[in-house]
Amino acid sequence: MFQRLLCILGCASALACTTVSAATVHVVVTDSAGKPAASAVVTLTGDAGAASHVPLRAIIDQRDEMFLPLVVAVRKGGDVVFTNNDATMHQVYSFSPVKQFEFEIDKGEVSKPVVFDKPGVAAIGCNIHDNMVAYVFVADAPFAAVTDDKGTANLRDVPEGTWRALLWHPQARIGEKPAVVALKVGGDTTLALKIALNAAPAMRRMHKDY
Amino acid sequence: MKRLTLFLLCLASPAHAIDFQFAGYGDARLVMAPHIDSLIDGGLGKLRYGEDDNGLHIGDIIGEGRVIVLPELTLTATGRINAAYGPAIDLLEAYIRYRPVSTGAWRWSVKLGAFFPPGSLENDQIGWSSFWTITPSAINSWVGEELRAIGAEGTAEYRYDGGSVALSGALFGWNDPAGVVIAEEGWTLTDRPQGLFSPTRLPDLAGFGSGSEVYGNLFTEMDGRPGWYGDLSWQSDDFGQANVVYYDNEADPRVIKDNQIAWATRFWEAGFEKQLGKFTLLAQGLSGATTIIPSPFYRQTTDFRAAYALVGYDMGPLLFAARGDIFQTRTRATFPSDLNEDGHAVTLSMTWLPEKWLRFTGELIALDDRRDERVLAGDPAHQDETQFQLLARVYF
Repeated sequence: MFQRLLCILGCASALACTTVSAATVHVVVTDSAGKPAASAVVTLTGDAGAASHVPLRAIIDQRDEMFLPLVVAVRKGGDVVFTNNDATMHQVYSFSPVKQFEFEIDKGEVSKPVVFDKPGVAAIGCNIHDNMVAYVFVADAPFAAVTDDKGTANLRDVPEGTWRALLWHPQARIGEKPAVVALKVGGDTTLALKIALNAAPAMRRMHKDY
Repeated sequence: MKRLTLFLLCLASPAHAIDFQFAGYGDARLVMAPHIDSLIDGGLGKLRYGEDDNGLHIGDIIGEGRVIVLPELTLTATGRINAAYGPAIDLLEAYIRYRPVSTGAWRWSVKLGAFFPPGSLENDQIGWSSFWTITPSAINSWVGEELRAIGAEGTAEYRYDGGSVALSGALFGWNDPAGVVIAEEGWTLTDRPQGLFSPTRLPDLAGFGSGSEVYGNLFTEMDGRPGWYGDLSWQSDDFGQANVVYYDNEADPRVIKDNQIAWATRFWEAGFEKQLGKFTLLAQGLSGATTIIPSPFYRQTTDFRAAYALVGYDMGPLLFAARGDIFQTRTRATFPSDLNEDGHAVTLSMTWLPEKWLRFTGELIALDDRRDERVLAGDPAHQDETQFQLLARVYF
């Protein structure tokens, strides 16, 4: 249901500072109102052959009937480990074409690694607690990072050259035309991106523990 | 079925972990009430509180327990403690849900027991309580007061990129008197749903001048015919959510049993919800009719319809809500009837959530209503009612 692999964005600006062979791209993502957009995934794709710098493994925890964090990025062929630090059991599942799986995880348990070998986005849910949701972004691109609460992320060790920046967000509006931003990296660079988002689903639980 | 077999095997095994979860709340309210006997006191007031109710009240203590026997199989029961009305302890819902995990687009589930019918966009918290206001709309007050499905519900859900469509259907019994409240009392705004084992107090006027209090038992089977409902709902990340419900209790309106009449009640309900940033819009409409034919010489049908729109603004620990309700009943009977009603209400609410376990809500309801029946009690048919509540609710 969340196979919304859209690469959406509005504007981008690149500010070259120094000339080095590898640089850091500092990404700042904001929504249409100019507010920081957390949990966005930005990827950089260049000529074929660049080695992947995307993490091989990510950890998704379960606390207070939430998956934390909301979004993780792993490289194609990487895996995700689920931990349960909640007061109750969960039944983790995904029906996304990228990866279909399900398993039970009791309090205090750590799952076996779940390998994601197809690029795309897998939405993760719990069959017991419908409010729980998380997203695994499986990157084919050599660089991918998830923005923090300030809407920022750093892509490190990016070789000089021309790259295509793509953006994904779980609340991106359906129907937005995918846009690609050409980015010239000649040194440490700041990339400012905008994205139109739907409202984040409200957590309407007044201390309801399930 | 494999899972059910496993479940039976697991019950025999002391090593199998069965989880139990519990949540609930209790509250106290400072109330300024209108000067008309409330519905709970057998009057024709439209609100929970009325004449002589000014002051401090202990509200309800609600507890909801869930036993997770298997991840696919859960038992849920919601109870209420309140010594002020009816039995001190009562059940609101109790059901078993079986929902196998699905790694495909389709998912199905079944529910067995006693539960509220679907449709409400307001009452998504424990014990039929609401996120935005203390008091739900006229539509959802009535559903909470008079309806409960005691039977089985099946749901098939199709999930796709960015949304889902679900179709539910239920067969139920033990709700044949449903309709008596909307006909005899009309629309009300109350946050106190009917308990499964409590008698329902009807307006004293329903006793035809006997002077005694009149009670009904809403949750009883009278004709051996099951009722049913269907619910089609759509949720989209982009467009919001919408639902349509058709309900028919299929009661035989000619049946009289234990001094009660079976009310043949059917209605359509439609709802829509949309979130726009910090704003949320909720809207529902309901239109239906309830019929009795207690003798070959008398037939009565009450048409009822209502709608509301609510705008909520969520600022984190502060919530604001404004809601407008309109409602009407029209009764067509063998003899002229005085059960007609026209009304509207405005509800303004502000909630502060300073802690995860604490809620303060101030709520003002201004209601304007004309009900011809009041003339029989010597009151004007037209009444303005204003109710203010300042609530402190502790969650546990």
